[in-house]
Amino acid sequence: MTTEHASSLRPAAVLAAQRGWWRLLPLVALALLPLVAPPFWRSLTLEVLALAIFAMSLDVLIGYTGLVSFGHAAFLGFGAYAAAFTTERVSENLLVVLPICLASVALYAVVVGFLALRTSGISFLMLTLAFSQMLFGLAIRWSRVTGGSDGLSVARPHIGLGAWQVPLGPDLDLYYLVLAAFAASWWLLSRLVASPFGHTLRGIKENAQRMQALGYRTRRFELAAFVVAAVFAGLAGMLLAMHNRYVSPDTFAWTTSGQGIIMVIVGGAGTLVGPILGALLVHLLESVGSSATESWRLIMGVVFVLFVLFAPKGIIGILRRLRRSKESPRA
Amino acid sequence: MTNDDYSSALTRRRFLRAVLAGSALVGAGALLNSCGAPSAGTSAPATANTTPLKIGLLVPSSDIYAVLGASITQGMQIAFAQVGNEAGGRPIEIISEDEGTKPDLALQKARKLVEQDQVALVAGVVSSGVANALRDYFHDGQKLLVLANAGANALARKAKSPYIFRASFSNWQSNWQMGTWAAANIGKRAMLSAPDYAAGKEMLSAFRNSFEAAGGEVVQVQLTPFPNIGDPAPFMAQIRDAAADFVYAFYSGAASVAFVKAYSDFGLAQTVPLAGVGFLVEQDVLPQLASAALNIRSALHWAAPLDNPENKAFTTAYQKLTNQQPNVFAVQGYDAARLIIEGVNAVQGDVSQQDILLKALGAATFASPRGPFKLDPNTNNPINPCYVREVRQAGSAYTNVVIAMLEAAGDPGDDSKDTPVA
Repeated sequence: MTTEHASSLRPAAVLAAQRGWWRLLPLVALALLPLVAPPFWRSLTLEVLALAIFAMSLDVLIGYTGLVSFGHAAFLGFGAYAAAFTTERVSENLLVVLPICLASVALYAVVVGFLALRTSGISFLMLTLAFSQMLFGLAIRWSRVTGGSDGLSVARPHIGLGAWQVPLGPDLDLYYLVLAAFAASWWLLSRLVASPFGHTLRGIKENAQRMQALGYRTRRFELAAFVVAAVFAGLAGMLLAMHNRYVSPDTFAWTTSGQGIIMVIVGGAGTLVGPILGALLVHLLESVGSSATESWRLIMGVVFVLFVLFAPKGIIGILRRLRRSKESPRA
Repeated sequence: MTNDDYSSALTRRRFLRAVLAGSALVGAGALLNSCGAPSAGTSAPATANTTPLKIGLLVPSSDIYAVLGASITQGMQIAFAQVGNEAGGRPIEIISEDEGTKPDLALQKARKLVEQDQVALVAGVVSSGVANALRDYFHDGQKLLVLANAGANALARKAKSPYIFRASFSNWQSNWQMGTWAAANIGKRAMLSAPDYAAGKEMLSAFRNSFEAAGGEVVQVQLTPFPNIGDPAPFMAQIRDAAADFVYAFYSGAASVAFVKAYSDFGLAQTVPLAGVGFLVEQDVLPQLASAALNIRSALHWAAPLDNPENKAFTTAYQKLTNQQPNVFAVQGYDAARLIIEGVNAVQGDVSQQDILLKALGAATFASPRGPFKLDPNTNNPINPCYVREVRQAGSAYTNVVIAMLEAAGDPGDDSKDTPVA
């Protein structure tokens, strides 16, 4: 704790040099990965990165604001369907698709958040679930628009700026797009939770009444956090839809929301990095584990129970405990 | 305390450790994999023709479609066993993956089969949703996919692909022929019932179009919740109140058991005859339905008691393998495997000659348990016979006796003959 405090007093230049260098390392590793890994592992990593954006966005709600949403898949799916509609009807240019997707998700999140945030706790959980189930039902039944249970195919977009056109043809381009989106999301969200705004959210999580007494209009902050989380989930949904070139109502299923929560809890809520690792673990279990054994759901369940019982702070909690026990002799 | 909390997300050290651990995990996976790949490559001798021919099998082994997946797998096993597990001089090696019910996950499994296991082709696929999700991946990647169930009309129409072959049916088939037949032989006023999802609507639409063209009238269309019908009582009441000459329904698996049993329990079977597309009373649900299914007439591209040598041989082999009666899904699996064998034989095991392989698959004809098997070159969809069957009791068992044989038909290949009306 004291060393952290001291480091924040170091000259900014030193800090920036150190931080910048270290922080780029895992990203460089991820950037080099396609050169060594076969295509299947590349697409698996791509999925993990997109799901990590989804898990991080949920962490902003669960870990930082104390809002347990059980319907976060609604925004993942909304982003995916928005991508399908926009690429089919408006433009296949990513510079057009991206803002339309994110803006429409934000708009929808404002409406849902406005209604759902009038409640808290279990009612909030049930309301968010209800909203996501509503979209699930809509996606299945409004088949003329959504393709029903057959889903919709999504065109792979290009990047175009006037005469400058870059097709996102082979999977490799999309991998780097997702990697860039992941890096940007991580950076933005970590700036956000470290900002005064982020501190306010934590204050609301710890004691909302006290924050109100201090003069904070807590619901506005909650709504802002809700919309931000939704936008990043929508981004993840859009990227996954472009990767799969397909969306189905399944994206809205409550199991997707549940898996998001598992990613956050297993990774470590309120850490941002934890949910990234949670996404990695859960997705590898689901994809690689299900190839190995049919009882992979049982394994996932056991892993989840073990984490909740013995490591409630998740993977990050374990890593921290390890570090503390290593440092304690010195202290 | 507060300081620790505030800095918890952002400290460089924590982030570094966590992400390094993460990337190490990913890297380790990649490393493991890249170690695996060359060893597989070196084990392949120069004489390529005797190396195993890898076939990816993507069928559900969990969730609601597990029974269908097992039937398809067993049907394929029988076909491969008949040729000594060899095609084009190469031993056949099956690599199975669980299709599950989620299209995203199934797509990932298909990627794994194609990119990691490097299978020559992927076969199976029960769910239309999954088939739609796979379509672009196989079409754009020019990889071969042989469908053993998934009936979405689009796969023979606007989403058809020269790389995708279907050994099963399109949702339009059987229903279309049955519409004309029902208007002449069952009644003029029909009530339609199906689960509210794409396949249900496609089946009812095909029936309705030909039924109305033949002078029939649809009094009501009933769409029930999918995948679980829930409490069937309100739907039965609706059927009773509609006072139609007969009910035409599509249900399959557990939903069919729920619907047909309720239909009998509510006493409707005596007053309003029930008809439908064959899955309603197929062999996989018939033992559970028992007397509730009696006298139900249905149309399908196969029937258990069909009197042809291939069907008899297939039934015997299937009973020997599983101690059960075969069902239409097993037949589709069998035909999918037969189709694959024909194609691979045509290129003598050299599946890299894709042009010849594609042509051979499209032109393949053989005697199937369902009758002569032939693909429509325009759609890569089979031209299916259509049998009208009626459930009768034979001893203690129930079976679908063929009472009429309608003209064989392929999918029309576009939506012009088939306006969606349900």
